[in-house]
Amino acid sequence: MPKIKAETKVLEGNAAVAYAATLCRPDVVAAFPITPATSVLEKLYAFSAEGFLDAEMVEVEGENSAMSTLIGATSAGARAFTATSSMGLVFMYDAYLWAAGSRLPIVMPIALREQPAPLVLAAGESDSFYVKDGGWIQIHVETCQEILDTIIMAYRLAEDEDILLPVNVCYLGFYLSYLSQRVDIPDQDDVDTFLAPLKQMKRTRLCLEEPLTFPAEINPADPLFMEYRYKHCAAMERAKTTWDLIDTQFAESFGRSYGGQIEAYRAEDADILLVTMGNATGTAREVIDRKRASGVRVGLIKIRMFRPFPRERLVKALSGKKAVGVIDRHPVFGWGCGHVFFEVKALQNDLETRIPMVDFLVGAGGADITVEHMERAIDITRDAAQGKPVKETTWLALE
Amino acid sequence: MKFRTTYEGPWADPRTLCTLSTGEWRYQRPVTTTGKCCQCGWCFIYCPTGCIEDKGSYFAANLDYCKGCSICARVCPVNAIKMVKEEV
Repeated sequence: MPKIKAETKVLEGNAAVAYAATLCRPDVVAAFPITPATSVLEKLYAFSAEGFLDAEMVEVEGENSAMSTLIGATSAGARAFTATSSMGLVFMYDAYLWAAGSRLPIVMPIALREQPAPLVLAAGESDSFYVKDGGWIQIHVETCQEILDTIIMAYRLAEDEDILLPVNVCYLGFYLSYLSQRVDIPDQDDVDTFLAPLKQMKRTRLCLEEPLTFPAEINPADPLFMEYRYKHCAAMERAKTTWDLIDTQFAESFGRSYGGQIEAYRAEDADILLVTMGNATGTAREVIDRKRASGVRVGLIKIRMFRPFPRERLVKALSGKKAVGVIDRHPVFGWGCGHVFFEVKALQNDLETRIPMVDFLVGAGGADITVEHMERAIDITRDAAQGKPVKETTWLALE
Repeated sequence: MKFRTTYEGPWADPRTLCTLSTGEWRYQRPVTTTGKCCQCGWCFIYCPTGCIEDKGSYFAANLDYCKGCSICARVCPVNAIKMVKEEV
C-alpha cells in the first residue's frame, strides 16, 4: 500500500482534514456531503481509490446515518472518522448525543458554518455552539496546519482509556475550508508512532467472545443514569490536562505546539487582554502588535478547547488584568452577549478580584472581522479598564 | 463516590447487570412442566429478550426480564410451556 510521506504542500483546510484523517488510519469512514465540508469527502474518497486510505467507506443517505454508522463501528472497537457542517450537524443531532452519552471516541471535524435561518451560505460558529452542551469535546483551530495537527492529537485524546469521548475539531468554514496555506504533512511512520500508545489502551467493545449489552437502557429513576453522567463529567475534567500533555508530546514528536487548552500571545505583561477563538486570532495578533507599538499594553488569549472549558488556565491568565474584551461571532439568544463571553464571564467567581469584561459581536454570517473592528474592541476594552462607562456588548459592525 | 458498574459508558454484562427490568411489563408468565421439557433449546433460541436459562435438566425463563410474549410456548414442540395470567 502507498504511504503518505512527509512533505510541505499548499493545502486547503479541507484537504488538511483529509490528510490528517488518512494519516490516522481510520477503519471506517461514513460521511455525507455538506457545504463547506464536501471536499473533505472528495479527498478522502480519492485517497481511498489511490490506496492511501485502507478504510471501509460507507456511503450513507444522510448525516444521521453517518453518525449512527460510526456509533456501531466504534462500539465494535474501530477507529472512525466523519466530517460535517451546519445543517448536516443538526441533522445528526440525536446520533451526535448518542455518541457522547455512549462514550464513543469518534473524531469529527466541523467546518463551521452559520446555521439558518435566515439562509446564508457563509462562515459562522453557530452550528457548533448549538451542540456545545451535547457532551463532546470541542477544539477550535486557527490555521490549516493546526487543523491537520489537531486531528492527529484528537485521536490521542478521544481514544485515551481515561477519556473515551468524541471530539470535534472546529475550523471556520469557507475561510479555512477553502483557504490555501503552507502545510507540513508529517510522515506516516511518525504518525503511527505517535498514535501507537492507543493500541495498549483498554477499551470495552462488542465482540462474540464476551457478549455485552450496548447501549444498555436504564430503568426509570435508577441512579445508574446519574452514575454515567458523573463519569462523563469526570472524563471531561481529565480531558483538560490530558490535552495539554498531548500537545507537549506532539511538540516533542513533530516540533509544533499550540499551547493545549489555550494559547497566550504577549499576555504576560499585558494590562488588558483580548480573548479570541478560531481564525479571527490572526487579525487580533496583528492589531495587538500595532497597539503595542503605540504604547498600549494589550495581550491575547486564544481559546482552543471550548468544551471542556479551560477554566483553571484562563483564570490564571486573566488574574491581575485590568480588563478583558472578548471577540464573539454569535450571540446567545436570551442573554444578548456572545457564546465565548458567556463562558468567560462565568469565571468572575473564580477570580480573586472582579475584572471589567466586555463583549464584541462581529463576523456573523461570514462577515469579515477587520483590523478596524479589532482596534475599536481594544479601545473600548481600554475604556473599561479605566473605569469609563461602556456597554457590556457592542455589535461592532452595527454601531 | 460509590459506583455500581465498572463500565465508563452504558455497557452491561447480560449475566450480571441487566439494567432494564423488562419483567415488570409482563401480564402472563411462561411456566415449564419440567418433566415434559426435552431440552431441544428452541425456546432459548426464539426468546426475543434472551432470558431463557438452561437449568440443567430443563429450560426456563428468567422472570426478571421475561416480557411474557409467549413465543417460547408457541415454538415448544412438546407443549411443555404454558402461559399463566399474572395475578395483580
